[in-house]
Amino acid sequence: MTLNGKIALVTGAGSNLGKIYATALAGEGADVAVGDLDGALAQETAAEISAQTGRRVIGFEMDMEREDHIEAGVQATLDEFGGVDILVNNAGLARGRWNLLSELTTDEWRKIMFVNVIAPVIAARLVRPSMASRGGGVIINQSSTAGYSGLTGSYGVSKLAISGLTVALATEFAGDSIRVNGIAPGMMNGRVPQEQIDRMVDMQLLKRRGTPEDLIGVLLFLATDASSFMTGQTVIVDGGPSRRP
Amino acid sequence: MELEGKVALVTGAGSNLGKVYADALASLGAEVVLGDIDGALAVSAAEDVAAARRVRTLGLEMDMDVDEHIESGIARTLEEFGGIDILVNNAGLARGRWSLNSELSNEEWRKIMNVNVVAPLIAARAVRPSMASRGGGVIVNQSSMAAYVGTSGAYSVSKLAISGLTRELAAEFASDNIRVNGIAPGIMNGRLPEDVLKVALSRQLLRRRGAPEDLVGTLLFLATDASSFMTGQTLIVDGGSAHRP
Repeated sequence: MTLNGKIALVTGAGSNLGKIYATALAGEGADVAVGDLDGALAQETAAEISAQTGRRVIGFEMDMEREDHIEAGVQATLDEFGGVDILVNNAGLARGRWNLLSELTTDEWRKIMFVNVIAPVIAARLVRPSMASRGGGVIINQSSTAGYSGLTGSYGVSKLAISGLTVALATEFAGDSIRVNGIAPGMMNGRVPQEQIDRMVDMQLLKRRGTPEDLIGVLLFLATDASSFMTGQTVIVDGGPSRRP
Repeated sequence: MELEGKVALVTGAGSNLGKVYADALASLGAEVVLGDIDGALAVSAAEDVAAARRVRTLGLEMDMDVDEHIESGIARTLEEFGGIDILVNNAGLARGRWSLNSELSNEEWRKIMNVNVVAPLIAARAVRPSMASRGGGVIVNQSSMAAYVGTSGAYSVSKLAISGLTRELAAEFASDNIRVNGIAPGIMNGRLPEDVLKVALSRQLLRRRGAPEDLVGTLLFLATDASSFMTGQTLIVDGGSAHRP
C-alpha cells in the first residue's frame, strides 16, 4: 500500500465524489479526515470508511464558507493524527444558479468565489506548516471541465480560477516540497436533468457517463510518488469534450 | 498483473526513456516490441527487458523517417504477437540543430515535422484496425515541456503539433474505443551542455533533475484503465516549468 502512514484531509467528503476520494486514500493505507457541510453525514461516512478499510477515519462539520470551520477542521486533523500529508480541496458550489453569469447577484458572486477559490487557499495555507515539517506533502484541487469547455457561468469561471490557484500555489509551496496539482472532471454522478446528461455525453468523445470511480486512478496518481516530478498541473478527466492541447 | 495479455509497441526504445517505458510496460506483464533507428540496439534492449521481466519481447530496426520501416515494424508486431493494444510514439528528433527555428533549412523542417508528427500518425493509423478488432486500445504520444514553454524552435513547434495530433486522434479514434493521450516531459536524462541544464533547472519549481523513472507513473496511468475516462489530454511532467492552468 502506497500511502501507509500518511494522513489525508478531504473536504466535501460526506457523499459522492469526496467520499469516493476519501475511501480510495484509506484503501491505500492513509488515515483520513472527512469534512462536510453536513457534520452528521461526515461522521457517518467516516465510520463507514473506517469499517471498510480498517484505517482511522474521523468526520466533522466543515462549511467552506466559514473560515473558522476550515481552521477547526485542519486543527482537528492535526490534533487527532499529529499532522497532515495530503489535502484534497474537493468541496465546492455547483449546478443550479451557479451556472448563471451576470444574472447572479454580487453577493452570490462573492459566495461562489469564496467557497470555490478562497476556501481552498485558506485550507492550503493552514496545512502548509505541518506538511513542511514532515518533509513535504501533496495538495489536490478540484477543478472542472467547465473551466475548459463551455465556459458559460460563474461556476466555470471559479473552476478556471482554481486551476490558476493550482499553478500559483505550486510555485509558492515548492520550496517546502509540497506539490500542488488539480483534477478537472467531466460530468460524473451529479443530480442533473436527463437532457443535460444527454447533451454532455454527446459532447464527449467517450460516449458514456462518467462515474466517480473513473477519478480514483487520477487521484491516486497525484497523491502518490507516481507523480513525484509533476506540480502545478491540472489533469482533465472528462471523456474528451475539452480541447486543450 | 494489469497488462497481462496485452501487446505494446514502443518506438525509439533502444535506450534511455523509450527503453524505460518498454521495461515499465513489461513490468506489468505486457509483451513488448521495441523499435529503434539502431536495429542492433533494439535487439539488445529487447533481450534486456525479456530477461528482467520474463515476458516475450522483440527488437526491430525502425527509422521513423522511413514509412516502410513503420509499416513493416507494425506488420511484424501483428505477425509475432497476433495484435496490438498499446502504442507508445516515443521516437523523435531533439536537441542540437533541431532547437533552431528559421535558420533550419526547408529540408530539415520537413524532416523534423515528418519524424515528430507525421510518423506517429502513420503508426497510429497502422495499429488502429488491430486495436479496433480487439475492442479498443491506448496510444500514448510523447510531447515535451518545450511545446508549452516554447524556447526550442522547430522542436517546440513539432511537440505542440503532436499535442494537437493527440487531441485530433482522440476525436477520430474514440468510436473504436481507442484512447489517445500524451506525456510532455521536462529535461530528463538527455545529454546537454551544463549551461543549458542550469537554465532549465532554474525554471523548474522542483529543484532537481528529472530522471526517466519519473515518467513511469504517468506512462502506466495512461496505459492502464486507471485513466479510462481520459482521452485527448497531454500531461506535463516537468518539475513545474510550464505554467499552464
